Amino acid sequence: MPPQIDPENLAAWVARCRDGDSAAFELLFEAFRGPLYSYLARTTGDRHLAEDLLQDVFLRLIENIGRYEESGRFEAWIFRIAANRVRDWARRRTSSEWVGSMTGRSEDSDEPGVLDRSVDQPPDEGLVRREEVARLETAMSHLEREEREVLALRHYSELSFREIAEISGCPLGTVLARSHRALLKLRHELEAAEKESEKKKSPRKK
Amino acid sequence: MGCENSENLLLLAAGELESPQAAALRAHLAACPACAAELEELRSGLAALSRLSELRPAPAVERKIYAATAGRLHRYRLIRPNFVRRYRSALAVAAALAVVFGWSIMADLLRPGPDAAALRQMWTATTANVIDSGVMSDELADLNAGDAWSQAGHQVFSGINKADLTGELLDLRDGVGQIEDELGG
Ligand SMILES: [Zn+2]
Repeated sequence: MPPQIDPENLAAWVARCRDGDSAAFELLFEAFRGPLYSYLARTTGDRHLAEDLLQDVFLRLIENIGRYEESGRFEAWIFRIAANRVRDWARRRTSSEWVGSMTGRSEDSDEPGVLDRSVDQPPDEGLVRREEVARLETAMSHLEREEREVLALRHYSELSFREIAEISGCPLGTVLARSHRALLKLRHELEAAEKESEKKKSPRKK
Repeated sequence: MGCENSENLLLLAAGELESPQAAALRAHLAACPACAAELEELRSGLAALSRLSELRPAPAVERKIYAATAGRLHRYRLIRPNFVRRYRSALAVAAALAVVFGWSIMADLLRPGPDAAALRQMWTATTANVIDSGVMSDELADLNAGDAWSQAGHQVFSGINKADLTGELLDLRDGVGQIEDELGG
């Protein structure tokens, strides 16, 4: 799911992309569109917004790739661009929330719903598996924005917690504490949802 | 959780704890059911997370995003040594247009677009640099002042469509630094 790219290939694509090679850009686009879009959509909970942000990320990639230093991993570089886009969005959203809270609106009133079905789900997947995925997505959407973000970043970028701390400009301890809290919340909500669905099913079974 | 191992437990669950620390923590886990249970919870949370599926924009949207981004690639390619030579005439055009039309009209022509602010900044910097430095003096001399200048500007402008002009300007933005280097060195 996250980019499974041979590091040597990746380095070559990046070098060619810097020279304006559109075929190399296409390879980068194909490799990263899914993970980047997934991260953006899961974090914002808004697919249309995620599309806009994705375009912005690739524009910035093109604009700045000449300045990318090969000392760092490209994955970290590109996800840092995406994380910065999310931060800008969150800042704008927070200021409008502040206006909202002044008028008595609850801070979580624009909590995102569950995103619609993903495209890579095999059609022959069993009902149980689909239910499981749906429960997972619901549980994700109930996390705080920052908790969703760190988990989505971890999952889709495959960066280590240290790298995530670096690209998001947070101390490692903050990233770990936030992830820890988010994972336990996720776990508990999934457990509760499983019990709930079993309760619903059992009367029908007998 | 009274042990305050949470951070290291997460790193261990994620396979990111350095080996000496990992060994110490494993030894502790053997004697501490609370930490062992917490580790299990975290592992189970990470396992659940790993089942989160990948999302993709609709194919049409994805094509649109690709077209909108790939089309810009050549505008930002790395500046080559012959950049200034290649773009001498474009710089002269830019300088002429700035004088003839003024920035406010140029800004209208280029609006709307994500780069309007950057272009504005670049435009100001470029024209100021170009005119002050006299690096374009040959071309600018040809365009001269007054009516001749204005006519040349109109002529140049009528031959360039908006998209091309935007491209030229983006190329110019890349060129500013290069020109400054050359002037300094
Ligand atoms: Zn313990």
